[in-house]
Amino acid sequence: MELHWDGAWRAALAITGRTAMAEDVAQDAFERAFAALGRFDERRPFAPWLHRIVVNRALDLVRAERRLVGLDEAAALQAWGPDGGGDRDALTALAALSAERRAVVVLRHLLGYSPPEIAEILGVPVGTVNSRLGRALTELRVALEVRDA
Amino acid sequence: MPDLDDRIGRALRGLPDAAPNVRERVARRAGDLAPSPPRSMRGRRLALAGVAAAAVIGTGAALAGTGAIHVTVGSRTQPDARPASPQTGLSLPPRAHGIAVLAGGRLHLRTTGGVGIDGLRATAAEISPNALYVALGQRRSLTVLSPSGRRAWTQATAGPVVAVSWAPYPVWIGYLVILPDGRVQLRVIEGDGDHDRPVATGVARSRPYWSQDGTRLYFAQDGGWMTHTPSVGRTDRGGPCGESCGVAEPDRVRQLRREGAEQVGFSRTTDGAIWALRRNGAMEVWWGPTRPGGGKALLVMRGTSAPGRVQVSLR
Repeated sequence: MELHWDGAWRAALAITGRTAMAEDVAQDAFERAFAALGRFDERRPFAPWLHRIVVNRALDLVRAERRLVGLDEAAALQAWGPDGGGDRDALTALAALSAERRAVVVLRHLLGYSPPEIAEILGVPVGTVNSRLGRALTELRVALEVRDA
Repeated sequence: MPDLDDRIGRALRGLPDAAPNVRERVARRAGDLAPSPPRSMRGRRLALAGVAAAAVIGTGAALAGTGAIHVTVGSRTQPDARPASPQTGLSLPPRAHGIAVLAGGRLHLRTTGGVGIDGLRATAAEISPNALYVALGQRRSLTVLSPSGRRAWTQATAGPVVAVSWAPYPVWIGYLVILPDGRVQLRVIEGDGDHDRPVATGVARSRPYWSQDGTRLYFAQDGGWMTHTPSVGRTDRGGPCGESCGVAEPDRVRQLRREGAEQVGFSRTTDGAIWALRRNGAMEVWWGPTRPGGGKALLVMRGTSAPGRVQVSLR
């Protein structure tokens, strides 16, 4: 169960890029998940159900926020590690992705879902997932090659 | 770059964890919302799963309930799965157009326009003078909800918004923000969310208030009251108050004596006042004339552990 928290928190933080928003997402997601436990089909795994709530809630917030104030790459990096730790180049490249592409990368590379599973979580066709993932990885590859050059 | 996948995965797994108090708070709220002990074995397993999850998330955080969450915004309703044990039952008093009660960081609100909120997390809240809009402080942002209950706009702030004050007309909003260095900053923003600007920094954490004609904003600083006259699209500076300032501080707390009760909130209205009391483990909101024995209970929240002061407003 510890993995549920770690995965949910980091997914929220990676997609929103802001600690305060990630806290809102985590709180909302766990509240919704637990309030709806009575409707949960216990024969199905808990994690995808929780992650679906986390990711979609994070995307909703980011889209609303983007319309109103915009997302700041610098702010995301600040939230992702003010102590300068971690792979800063990779995080910088991730912060430059659109939220939709970042969400797919997070689901694939942080939470380990397959494209069909990601499609079900996001409610989009598998082709859309593959397309977003491919473009996101191309963007990341180019950005990291430039930085490493 | 064959190791790109691994590199991205490592970078994401290396993101910092949440602060312990965040885990604790999430666990507590999640525990509150887990279904009540069910009769069926299937339900018992689910409830146990919920409690176990909350316990692990929160590293042993307490699971005691503090209040039901039930949000109604316009025609949208999101009820929780629990029985409404400590339901608030907030209702509008006669002739009022809107009422807001902020206790324990949770907002309870009703307007004649159909917006109803119970239990929304907020740090400050006030209904607009025409009771159509609601301004909310939520973490590091100021948000205005439209008459339909949808978010009209949001202004990001440098810290928590701790007080909000609407001008009668033209529509301005004065609000206080706690800056990262701990100082309190007074800001003014136009009603459509434009031209947000600072007025003064290092002000007292007292709710600012507007003159009757809405042209001047009064705020507390350095032990006295200051005034500020905003202009559309312009940044102005505050200055010391003249003789007209401070004579009608509308929200100065007036102690209303009630047997065995602690007054925790007060706001004047055109024909009386609205105030909050805490006694016998319950938080009560009263409205009416301020004479001894006057007033009518609008709301009783039993079993609430809401600490600190309570913000109350009536339109």
